[in-house]
Amino acid sequence: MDKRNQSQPEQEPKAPAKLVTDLKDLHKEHIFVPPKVDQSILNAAREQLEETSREPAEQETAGQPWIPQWAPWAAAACLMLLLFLTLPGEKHTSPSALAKASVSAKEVALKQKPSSLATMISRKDINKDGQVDILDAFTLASRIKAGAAIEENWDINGDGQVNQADVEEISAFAVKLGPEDNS
Amino acid sequence: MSSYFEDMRSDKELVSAINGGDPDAFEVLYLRHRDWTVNLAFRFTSDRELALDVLQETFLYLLKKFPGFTLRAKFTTFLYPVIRNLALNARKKNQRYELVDDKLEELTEPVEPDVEENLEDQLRMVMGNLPVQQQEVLLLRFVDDHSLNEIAEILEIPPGTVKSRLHNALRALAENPRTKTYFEKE
Repeated sequence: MDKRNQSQPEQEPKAPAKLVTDLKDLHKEHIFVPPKVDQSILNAAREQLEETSREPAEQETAGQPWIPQWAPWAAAACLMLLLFLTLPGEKHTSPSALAKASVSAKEVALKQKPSSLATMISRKDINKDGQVDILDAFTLASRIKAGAAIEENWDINGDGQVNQADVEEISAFAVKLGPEDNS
Repeated sequence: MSSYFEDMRSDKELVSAINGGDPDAFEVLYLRHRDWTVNLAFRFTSDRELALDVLQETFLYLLKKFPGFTLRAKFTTFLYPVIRNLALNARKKNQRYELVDDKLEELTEPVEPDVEENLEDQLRMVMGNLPVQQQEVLLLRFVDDHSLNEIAEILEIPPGTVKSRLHNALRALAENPRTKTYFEKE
């Protein structure tokens, strides 16, 4: 520490005794505080503090002691976002939301409407394992290459031929709707 | 008024209660520190009315800090600079009005008073004209009996600065015709 900043009692300035006595006497006198000054201060305090304690009480009466004013708007925004993400057939900006929504659309279509989509999916289920995945594309490719028996309904793209183009169609479908794309 | 002297709660506990909106706790805190506050204000103002004004302003300032006020030091340590600033401002405002009167008084009064019974009044007058920093250390040292290190802590200045201010204050008193008597008789 800086030596200049350290107190050194032996060098401490001394005051004459009479001066010290008079200084003490000067400040010995008690300043009388009139009751009206006390009342003025205490009334102001009472007014402000009662107001302070009333505000939380009013909020509790309303049943929302801790909910900020923007909470309803936040709740509404959350609800809208939830609906946006879960409704089928909507456009989504997030890739993961897109994948989830696509799967959801597929599931809904399969469960509720055994229509052309279900038919299309069952046609692509080349290996008949109950799901359309890359193994179906692989199975079809193997059968075409091996010259094995080909079913007519494997003409996925409807061009009248069962060939590499149908394999690619199944591959694209599997990649698009497959469970591996659910992330 | 509640019997504040019977309330055993600490200042921090009272502050906590006031944060909860308890006006009785504020009253206890006020009555506990009222006299110290007004006397400290009087030190800086040398005027009873101004000291009372400062008392009110100090506690109204404190009141504005609630709710949400946290007492991190001793209550008097927190209040000291508040009282000091309010008192010095009050004195400055008041001096604008009294300046002319003081000058006239100085011109008409004898330069070297020779009446012993007026020495205390002379001292009061000279003290009032000292720089505030010098008054402060003089009173903290010789009226409140604080050590130099304690004063340094209160004022948040180095002990060396306290010592030099004290030295300058005493020299000013010794050189002033109104108060040099103290030093001559020593």
